[in-house]
Amino acid sequence: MFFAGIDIGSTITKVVVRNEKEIISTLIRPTGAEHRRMAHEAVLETLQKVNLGFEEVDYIIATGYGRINVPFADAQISEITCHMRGVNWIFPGVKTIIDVGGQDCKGIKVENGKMKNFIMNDKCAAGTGRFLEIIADTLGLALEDIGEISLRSKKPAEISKTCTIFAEQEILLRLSEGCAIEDILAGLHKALANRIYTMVGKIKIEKEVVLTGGGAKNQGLRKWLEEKIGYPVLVAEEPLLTGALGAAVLAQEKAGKMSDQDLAEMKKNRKLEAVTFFKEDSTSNPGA
Amino acid sequence: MEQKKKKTSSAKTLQTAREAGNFGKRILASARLAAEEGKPVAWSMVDWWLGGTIAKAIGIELCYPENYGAFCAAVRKAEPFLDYAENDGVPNTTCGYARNGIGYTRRLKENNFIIPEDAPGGGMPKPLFLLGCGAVCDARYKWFQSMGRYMDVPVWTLEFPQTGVAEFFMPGYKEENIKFMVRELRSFVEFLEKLTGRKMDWDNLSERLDTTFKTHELAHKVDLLRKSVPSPAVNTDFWAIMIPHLYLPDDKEALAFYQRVYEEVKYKVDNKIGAIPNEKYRMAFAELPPWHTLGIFDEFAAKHGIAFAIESWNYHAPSPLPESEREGVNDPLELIARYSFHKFNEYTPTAQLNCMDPTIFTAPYLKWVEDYRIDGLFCHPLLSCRPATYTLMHLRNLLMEKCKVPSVVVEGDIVDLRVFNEEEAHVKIEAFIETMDHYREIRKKEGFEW
Amino acid sequence: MNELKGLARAAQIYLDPQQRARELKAEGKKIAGYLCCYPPVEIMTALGYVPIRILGDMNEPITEADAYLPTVMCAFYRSILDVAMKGRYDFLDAFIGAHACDGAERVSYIWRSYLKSPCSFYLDVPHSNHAAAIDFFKVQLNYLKDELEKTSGCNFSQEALREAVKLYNKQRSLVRSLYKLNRQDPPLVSGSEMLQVMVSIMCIPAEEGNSLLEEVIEEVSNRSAGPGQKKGRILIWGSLIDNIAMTKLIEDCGLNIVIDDTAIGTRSFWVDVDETSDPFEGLAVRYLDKIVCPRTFRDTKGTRSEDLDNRFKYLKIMAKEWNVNGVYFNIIRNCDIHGYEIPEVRDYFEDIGIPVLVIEQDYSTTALEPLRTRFQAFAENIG
Repeated sequence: MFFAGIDIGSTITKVVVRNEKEIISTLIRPTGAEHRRMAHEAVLETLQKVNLGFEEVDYIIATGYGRINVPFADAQISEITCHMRGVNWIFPGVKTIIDVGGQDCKGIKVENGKMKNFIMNDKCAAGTGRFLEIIADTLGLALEDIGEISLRSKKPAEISKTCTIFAEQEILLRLSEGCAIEDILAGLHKALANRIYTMVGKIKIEKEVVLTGGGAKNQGLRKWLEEKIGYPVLVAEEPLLTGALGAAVLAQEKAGKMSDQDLAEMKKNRKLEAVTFFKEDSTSNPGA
Repeated sequence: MEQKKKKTSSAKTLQTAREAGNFGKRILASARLAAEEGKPVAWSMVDWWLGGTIAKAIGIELCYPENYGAFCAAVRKAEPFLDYAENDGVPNTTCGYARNGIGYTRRLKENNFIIPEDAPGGGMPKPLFLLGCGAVCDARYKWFQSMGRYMDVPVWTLEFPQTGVAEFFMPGYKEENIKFMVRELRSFVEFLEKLTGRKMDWDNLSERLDTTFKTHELAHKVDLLRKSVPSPAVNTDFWAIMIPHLYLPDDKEALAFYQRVYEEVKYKVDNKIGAIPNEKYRMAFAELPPWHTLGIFDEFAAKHGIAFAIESWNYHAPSPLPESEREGVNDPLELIARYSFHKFNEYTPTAQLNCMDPTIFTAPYLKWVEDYRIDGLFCHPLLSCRPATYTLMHLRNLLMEKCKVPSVVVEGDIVDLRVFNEEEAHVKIEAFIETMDHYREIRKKEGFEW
Repeated sequence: MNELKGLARAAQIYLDPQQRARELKAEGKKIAGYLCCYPPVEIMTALGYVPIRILGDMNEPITEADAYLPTVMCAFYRSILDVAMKGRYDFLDAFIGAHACDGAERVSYIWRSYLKSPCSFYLDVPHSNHAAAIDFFKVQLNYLKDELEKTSGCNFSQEALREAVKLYNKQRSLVRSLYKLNRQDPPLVSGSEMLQVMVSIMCIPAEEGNSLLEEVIEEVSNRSAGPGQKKGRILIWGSLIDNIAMTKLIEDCGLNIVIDDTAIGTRSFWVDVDETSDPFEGLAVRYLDKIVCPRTFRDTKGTRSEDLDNRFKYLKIMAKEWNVNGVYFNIIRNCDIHGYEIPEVRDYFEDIGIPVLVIEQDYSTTALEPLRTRFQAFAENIG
């Protein structure tokens, strides 16, 4: 049997296909304005890599910000639950998950494989990957480089603002004072780590801590978070995939609870169509 | 890689203002000393001389988390406390002083109520009780109630009536308010006597009240002197000298200090010495300042000749209680009630004249712009102090409509320097100079006095 | 005049809550608008006024209020001033502001400065339930009565006030009966239906409200298909919800709203007014002491846990009787009185094993969608 999880994030779409034992195919690609409706193509592409046909997949779960109204998904489950399951599958001893995504930042507390509590920031770019993107833009650097560069600093600059707009101005001020780029970046990463630590601390950080999402790829953020937490955090080999992986794990669980007949019936009705977003009047809610 | 260190605090223009900082430190030091000696200490809100004076008269030493918040902000040590309060689930939209206090209290508790060594200003010792207050804002009692979470000590909330303008003039209304306040003060005395096992020292209380009235009268006279052109003292002076009259008005040293403040300001007025050289514009400031960046006002003065002639209604001593209200009043509690009520309602006739509500935070400025010949109002909406912010837009509208005085809005916070943008403030003030020139002409044309 | 009954009628009133009041006004009735749950409706009714609760509008973008109020204040009260400035409450014969919290207090002041109605009163509500405070509040209620009487065109009588107390006590009892139907699993009334009924009865005369409640109780008691069973049974604690977009979102995510402690819900109806010989006495005690809202300070009692029980035990009882397995804290952003209470109420529930979801929301229907993930995850968590 085969199971798929698709995590349609605000910036990146991720797909994981599994059989009963392991991951057999994955895909990561930008969601992008014109691509977001094409999530079904992402699923197909992932399947093609291992020569699987769409009809061979037994259960599909959609998650992430674009999870609503995915016509070909058999269920939709929030990314909070999916992340938790995906991380827990990779790191069975996890107690705290810190997920720094493109649009939001969340903390999830895990106990014996179950979600105990969670917290999510809102509204504001501060404390999210968006903060790093804007900072990279302001400094004319690539997003994937800024974490590394910040590690070179011996004397992080004082950055007091975590409001993104103010931070931009503060960067310009520090630059005009002749402060080195790596020191400014170190200061910014430190400020971001503090902000995330304060937020996630509301659900009490306990070992093991796993860092996921785009933020996990940033070495600077990881370093300052570890410094704040007081011990090392774990990072998955591909931190972007944990949501889709969790969805695929949950897909297997869901399928396992259904009779073969019901599964076949469900597959028959599944339509491989483009994703629609946030249709207000829709009452269909397969996850509920 | 030299980083230029910009000065964040203000130099202040009065010699006495530069010395006033000692009072703040003294409050904390004497509270700690009292705690060490096993004497009762309480944490109090600024309550406009209602309960603080009474508590002191029964022998309780006070310190003020609100003032401590401003202090931590001024030395830029507030952020860790803010974070620590938010970390326990307190929304980051609540009062900056409150989050500072809650974060500090949480740390204090985790340190088994031994003051952490790195506590700014030496820290506040664990209190016997918390004295909240109903005047001005909900945070004044909700914040104190929420600190009880960490300390398991009783919280007392002093009632304070919130009066509408039309209601103030209803027959018997004021006396009902006074009656209510006096009863509440009496219950507070009972609470204190029960908690401490002591008896109220009424003579001590009367003596303290007497000193308070004298200190405040001098503070008020200083306010009146500030009407002079050029302004003999400015906002940054006031925010320093207010500490003794707000927190220690019943203290003989504060009274002596105010005598010196008065003399210094009087001398400057008599000799036409302005607080800032080359005063060109006179502004008012509403309501609470960015404690972490007071130096910005020195820059405004140097760059544009702006003197902030009056500010922060809430922190000023009222005019002396009229004789008619003091006459025949022998109960010190009634005197306290009348005086505090007077503080909050003395500008109600101005509000009535202008057909508007409320008196607090609003009506005084309508009178002040004329008395102090104000060219413009600096509005400082605070992200975390709503009571000092709620009526700012309303006040702007009223000043423009009734007095043709323009205003400039720069958002910020009392404690959280992360939300204040100095550059923006400079840009806005530069543009505002022209606006003030423009409205001077308009006021002249329309026959205003200034 | 209206053939719709029960839930359908409530849904209709909810769509334009002030419509009935405007009709009555056209018939010559006087209408009194009031803020929050502290001005006693009994006094208004006894003097011939039809009391209506002043509401904001989550669907209406705030445009006018920005000129009068800063953005950092309670979004609900900003919205109230906004719709008022746009003329929604122009028909009021009396405006009754109240010092329910800072937001209500300051909006009362600003409202009165610009919007003039024949009668306008600002009700000072003391901060505590001290004995002196209750007496003072009683005096305030008498001032309110005097002011209303001046413009009511009728004379005040103790008898009319006693009748009004009875009328509203009946309403309260009906509201409690309706909520009790949600103790069963699945509940009989959805959170959205309940909200439509609550908004309706706050905006029509009490007699009409009582008939509506009776109709609804009969209708839902006999219904075969209610909201159905979902993943979680939740209690909502917080200031208020007055738009079904919010309750629908919550219910769509797999949660049954079975009970609430909010100001457009049980908080306004849960306890009766005692029929005291001086009706003002019963009113003062009920409104100031018996309504439990964090805005009222209660003296510290005994140990820490005794004190918490003194403040929140009613929540524990509600959670047990309605058999909830989760609590949603509905915090309208910038609400101080609920904000300071969050850590304590959260721990209070979690100590009895009930998980809590805290959301600070912006009182705007356009800002709801991002909250979906949280409600859904919460449902997945407790379900």
